[in-house]
Amino acid sequence: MEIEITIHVFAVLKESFEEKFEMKIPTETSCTSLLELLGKQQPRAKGLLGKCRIASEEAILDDDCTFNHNDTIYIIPPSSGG
Amino acid sequence: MITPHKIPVEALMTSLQNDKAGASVLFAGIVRDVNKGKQVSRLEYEAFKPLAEKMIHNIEEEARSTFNLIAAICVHRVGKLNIGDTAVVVITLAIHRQEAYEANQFIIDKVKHEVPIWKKEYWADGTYAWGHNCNCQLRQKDLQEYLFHHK
Repeated sequence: MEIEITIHVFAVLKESFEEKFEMKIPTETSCTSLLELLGKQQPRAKGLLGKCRIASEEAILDDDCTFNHNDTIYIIPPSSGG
Repeated sequence: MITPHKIPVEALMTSLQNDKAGASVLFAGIVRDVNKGKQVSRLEYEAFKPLAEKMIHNIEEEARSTFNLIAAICVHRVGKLNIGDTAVVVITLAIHRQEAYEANQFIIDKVKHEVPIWKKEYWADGTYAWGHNCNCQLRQKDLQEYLFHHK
């Protein structure tokens, strides 16, 4: 069983992925396993994805958090503000 | 707060004036012309604004309660910045200077480490690189040890 989610990426990740794209993932996919799936799609981003966090518009999600059909999520690379 | 506009530093200072404050500390992060030995031509900052603003607000609130501040504000700019432009400002007001200093550093360290803001450095030779700006591991003297753990 699969669900479809919308993924936004930022900064250096835009060099490996479209800024916004839809992806079908198995139900019960966690944040950690989604980052692994994305790393399989784009092996050159695998190392970076291991340091990324996944967020909603409201908060950083826990590593074991799972998704619902039609969720929109954001992949957050390591910060470099300031 | 995240803004694409020039940060109004003097207006921010004026707006925070408070008769109870005996100390006011202003930190301004400014775009410099050299980084890691390479000539910088300009910077570009990107942010995930909804979450970045919420996280900055939470960090300001945490600093207020932890350091017993009278006021705290952090404003970060996004978009294209030139050498000499102000990229980020943190202002802290407290009764005494120690709390104002410590809280100011707490806020900028945490913003740099945790808030979803990213720097793209454009070099004078026409190349560019995405920033790796957080230096809290170096301050901890241990490359495996962050000041703030999120991963």
